Amino acid sequence: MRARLPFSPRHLALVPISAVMVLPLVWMLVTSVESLDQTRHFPPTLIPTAFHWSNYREAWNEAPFGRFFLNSVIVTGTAVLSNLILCSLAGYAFARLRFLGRELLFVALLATLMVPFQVIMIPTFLIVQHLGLVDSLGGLIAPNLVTPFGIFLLRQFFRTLPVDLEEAARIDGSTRLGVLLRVVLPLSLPALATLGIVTFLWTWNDFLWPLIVITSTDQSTVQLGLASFQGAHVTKWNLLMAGNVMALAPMLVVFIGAQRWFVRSLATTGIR
Amino acid sequence: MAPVVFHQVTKEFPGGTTAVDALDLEIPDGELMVLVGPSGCGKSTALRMIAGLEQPSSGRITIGERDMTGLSPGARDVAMVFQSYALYPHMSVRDNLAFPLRRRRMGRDEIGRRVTEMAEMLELGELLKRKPAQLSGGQRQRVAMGRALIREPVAFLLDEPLSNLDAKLRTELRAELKRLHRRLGTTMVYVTHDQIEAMTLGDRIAVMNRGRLQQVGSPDEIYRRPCNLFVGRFVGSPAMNLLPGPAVGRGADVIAGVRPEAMHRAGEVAGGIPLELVTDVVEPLGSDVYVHGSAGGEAVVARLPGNVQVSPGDRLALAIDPADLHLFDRETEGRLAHE
Ligand SMILES: Nc1ncnc2c1ncn2[C@@H]1O[C@H](COP(=O)(O)OP(=O)(O)OP(=O)(O)O)[C@@H](O)[C@H]1O
Ligand SMILES: [Mg+2]
Repeated sequence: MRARLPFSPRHLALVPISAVMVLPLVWMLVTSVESLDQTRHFPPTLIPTAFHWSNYREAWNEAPFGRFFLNSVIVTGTAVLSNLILCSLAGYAFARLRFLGRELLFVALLATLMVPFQVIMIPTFLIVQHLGLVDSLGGLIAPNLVTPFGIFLLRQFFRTLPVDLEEAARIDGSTRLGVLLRVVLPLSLPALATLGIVTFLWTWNDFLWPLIVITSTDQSTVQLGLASFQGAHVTKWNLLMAGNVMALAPMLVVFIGAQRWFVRSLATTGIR
Repeated sequence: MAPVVFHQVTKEFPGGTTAVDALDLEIPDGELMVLVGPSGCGKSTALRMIAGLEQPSSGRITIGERDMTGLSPGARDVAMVFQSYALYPHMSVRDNLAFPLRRRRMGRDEIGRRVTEMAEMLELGELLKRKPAQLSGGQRQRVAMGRALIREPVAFLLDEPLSNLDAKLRTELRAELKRLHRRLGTTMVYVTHDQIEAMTLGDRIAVMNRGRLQQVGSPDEIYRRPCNLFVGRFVGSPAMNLLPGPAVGRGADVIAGVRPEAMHRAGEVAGGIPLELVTDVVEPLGSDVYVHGSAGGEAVVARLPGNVQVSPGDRLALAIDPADLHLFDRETEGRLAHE
């Protein structure tokens, strides 16, 4: 008989890896409650002796964080909502409707997935400029209203659903849109949750595009705000980290809350 | 309720498959018509064209005089039961039943009344709150029937609705379906590849092969007067025996079909055509015994009374009543009149 370990052998590899992943996060948390002196100490103190919670209030007051958060929420919320709606519609069309040039269009769509953002950055900026949206939240939202990734993800998921269900609904008197709303989408909640989370993370964390489009402070997002914070208060690491923790918090909440859905849908789309 | 008529309907799929070829078929009001044929013969495609899930490449389909060309499935007022049942997994049985009524904007009270009525008729009362995943195969099947029947469609389409059930349940539900049809009097089109199901269920049967309609008629007609070799072989179990003409005293340009039960022991039929069967395998079934072997150079099965004593290797003297012979042209495979 083999001796039973109280844990799976896989943990021998997984625990050290997670330790490495978690370390920067812990360091950030620790730094955010240290005094300025402690942050400059070498070797770095990883176990705090006193908790300077006031760092958070100070950071919040040093920059218009309230405004940044509001901007981020508006941009991210709009992007998530419009991606869910528009990617569902487009994904369903690619999955089920027969129309001329469908395959060609889809291949073209896939091709755009492979183009790095840096390549289309300038043309996108020119379009946004043409629309008169530079230095406004609209300029942040417009390019993110619908993503090829979202269309691709939902199309793949929709195709795994049994066609019979949709045909039954059509015979029962549903229009195509009714089929999408009443049958397809309720069965696609895991995929929709994934798309929602991914869009949230991308948009919330996006730094490069806001950096290009936004110049004024009152149109800044959280990520942009943090960056300017770093420039102005380059030495106050504890305040910077406090700001970082605040920017990270919503993401953690969303991720932990939706993790169950998220993992399930990636698993099912992967296998089938 | 309405008749369903195919006028020269052809369906070609992209890629060149002709699934249905110039189909002419009239299903009168209130009839239970069974479309039967081997896998891939186009029977599902024909049914799906009635439902509007496929559009004919040419020809027309009418339901109750109304031309269905270009009409969406929802506008045709037909209902369909799928082989997979296609119950909406995220809805309770009650919502599944109510779904087609809600799509037709029926009032809440009326919907409630009809759902209760249907649940009573199909004995689904206790199951109304359950999700499809919590039902047995037979219960799912009944919910699927209920969802189709509930809005009182003019025609009722079923695509192999019993094939996912075990043999006993299948036989039970077959009888239930027939009772239901008699009670409702709705036009029904039933697709199956199982000739026994077709024979037991159909008012009339349409036999298809490779997209072409072979024969339409009552189960009795199809069995007694198959119009060609294919229909003769397809209907009946065990299948019709085929013998070269000379083996039964006919010309070489003829193939003679003999049903297993039309083979008798010599002496039992006056003026019978004699045939010697070299026994190979014996299958006793109690009331009958199937004797497999060869006769006239062909593999043959005879169905004899259960009390006949045979063992493998025996040479049996058989006789066939000439009136029981089905004669087919060797070239065209069409039925020949008895001379
Ligand atoms: N969507 C489609 N595209 C291309 N060919 C198809 C399509 N649907 C069916 N076919 C072809 O048309 C022919 C008839 O198909 P159909 O589904 O009507 O057969 P069936 O008689 O119902 O067979 P089964 O008993 O296996 O269900 C087959 O050769 C099939 O491959
Ligand atoms: Mg079929």
